[in-house]
Amino acid sequence: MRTSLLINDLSAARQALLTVAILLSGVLFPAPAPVAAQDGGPGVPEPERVIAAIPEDFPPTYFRNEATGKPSGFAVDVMNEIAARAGLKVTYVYGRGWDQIVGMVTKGKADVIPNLGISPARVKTLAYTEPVEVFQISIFTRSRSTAETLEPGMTVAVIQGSAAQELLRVRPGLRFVEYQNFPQALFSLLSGKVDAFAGPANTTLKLARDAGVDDEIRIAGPPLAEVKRAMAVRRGNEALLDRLNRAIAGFRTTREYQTLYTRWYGKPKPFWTTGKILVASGLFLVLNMAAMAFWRYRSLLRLNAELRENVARRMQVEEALKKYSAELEKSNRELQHFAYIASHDLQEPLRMVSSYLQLIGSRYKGRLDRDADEFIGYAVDGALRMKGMIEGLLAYTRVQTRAEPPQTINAEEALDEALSNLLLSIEESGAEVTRDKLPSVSGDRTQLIQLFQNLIANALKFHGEAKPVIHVSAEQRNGEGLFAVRDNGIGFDAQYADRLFRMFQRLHGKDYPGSGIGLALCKRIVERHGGRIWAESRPGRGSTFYFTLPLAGPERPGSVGTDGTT
Amino acid sequence: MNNRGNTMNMQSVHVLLVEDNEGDVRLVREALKDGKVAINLHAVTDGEQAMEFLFRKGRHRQAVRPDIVLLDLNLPGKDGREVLRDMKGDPDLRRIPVVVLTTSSADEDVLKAYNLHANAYLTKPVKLDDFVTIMKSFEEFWLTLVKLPGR
Repeated sequence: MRTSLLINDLSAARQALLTVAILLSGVLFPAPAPVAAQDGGPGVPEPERVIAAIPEDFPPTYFRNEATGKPSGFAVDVMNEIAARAGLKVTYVYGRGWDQIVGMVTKGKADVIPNLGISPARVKTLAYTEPVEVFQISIFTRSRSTAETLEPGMTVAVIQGSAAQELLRVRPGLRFVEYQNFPQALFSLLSGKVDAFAGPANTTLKLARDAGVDDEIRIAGPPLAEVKRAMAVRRGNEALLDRLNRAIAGFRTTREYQTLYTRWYGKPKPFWTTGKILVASGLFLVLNMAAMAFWRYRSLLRLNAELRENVARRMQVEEALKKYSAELEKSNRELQHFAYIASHDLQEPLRMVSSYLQLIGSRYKGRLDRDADEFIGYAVDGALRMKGMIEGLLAYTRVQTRAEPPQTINAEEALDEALSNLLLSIEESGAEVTRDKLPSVSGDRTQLIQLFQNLIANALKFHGEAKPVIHVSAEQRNGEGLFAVRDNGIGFDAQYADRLFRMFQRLHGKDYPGSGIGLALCKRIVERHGGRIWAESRPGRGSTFYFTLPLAGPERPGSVGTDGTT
Repeated sequence: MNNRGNTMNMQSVHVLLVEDNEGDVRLVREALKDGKVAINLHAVTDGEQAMEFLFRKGRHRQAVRPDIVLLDLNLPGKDGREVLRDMKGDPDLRRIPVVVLTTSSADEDVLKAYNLHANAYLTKPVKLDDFVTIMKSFEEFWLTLVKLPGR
């Protein structure tokens, strides 16, 4: 069992032996013969004065300060502090080796040994106060090593005669290299000469820290043993022991003790050193930035994908629009071409039919019977009507193909021009045409004149017994111009109101000749301007044709600045 | 010196009719038949022939220079507009008056004809009476009243 070597499992005797060995290991260096310390020489112990025996070179516990020549070290400071609390004054004497030092006390040449390792052997001749120092003996390896314990075949550095050496001697398979002091052992470990070093944890760490190599070593596994140190006095010197113990009780747990301990053994490097904080903050920043960059990258990818999709969709739409636009243009060209064909090519054969029928009629007058003239009359009439229809169709298509961009049109002027075109029929029928004030509208001048002209002509044509009375009025409604052309004519049955505006649809017989194109043309013109057209009537009570047109900017009522004035 | 108005009655007037429709050629002939003026009506049926006639080439090598041209616009091959353009672009032929006689009443045709320096534009009416009236008017105006340049 590996753990059987831990101090807990050892017998008291063995522990004592090891402690002595540890303590002895520190004084193997040559030390001068006992010399009285500067501030005091050997003398008879007095109650108020005590003589402390210490080794001369056992840092950081005891040593002679080279600069001042005064005794220094953790044990010296602890001794001084305890003495001060106990009302004692300490004088130091140096001894060579622990045997001599212990002897100095047992022989009465000195009163106390500060921080002496507690061992059963010493207890026979010395009395110990309560422990003033506890330390562990640990295994050190290089920091890269992963070993958690000592394994057979490993080479271990130890201080000659140290407690560690005693503890490990019984372990099988280990090879040992002995060193005289800590620096040599530590260097051996760092240089790779040995696999591990066994020694006091606090001292070793302090030395490693001072040498700046504490990052290079690590403690492997649990401590091998725990060792206690205390003030040792001559057996039987109960007075001094009591005095020291009282002082120790009030000192061990104080901040001053901690300060002293830290001063001599140093304190473990705080985990959060400036370097580590910088590295950690840097790492945090880098990770943060990386995370944000990743997030940004992801959102960019997503946005890019969306953008690509949008662009693709838009391009599709544009492509489709371009296609439709091209188709529309083509269809418009074809319509124009058709219009031309209708105006020329279709009419020529028609003209031939009617012309030659009429030529027959005139050339063979009297030589044909009466029926012939009548038949010729029907044929010519048919041809004439067909020509009228073709012209109507042509006019209908021209509403689109001859369209001009909208401009401000004074509706009164358009109506006046329409009336002047109809002057002859107005005079013939004796009609009375009146009008209210009309607004300006936005539209195609030629088409608006035609619109008025067709509606007035319609009213003139379908007059009843009385002379035609026609009134044109307008009002502004919902931002539009609502026009009304009212007549006193024969009217029509309301159920046919829709058919009125269909191409070649006629409600009245041949008493009222026409091609049935006029109102269809009106509807097309109004709708091209974004308006509506409808009619209200009752048979024999006249009719009113209504239509709406967009008002021209400046005259629009309640204008809020969206018109042409801005 | 060149008082054609007076000489009209003695000498016949040469009219070149460019018209692909035989029916129309006949109608024009009929309409002008019993006029006061002795009219020599030369009819060709397309633009190429019209140019050959005017330049006295090909089978029209023996053609006479017409005093006036009655020109239909829609012709097979080289159409009336091109004939008009070529005639008005020629320094010699440009002074021969060209009266367009066509079925089309389309504004664009009228405009284009005058832009090509047509001297008049007549639309063939559907009614025979109207047609005869128009041709009589043509004769009355262009062949009687108007002073034409010499050949």
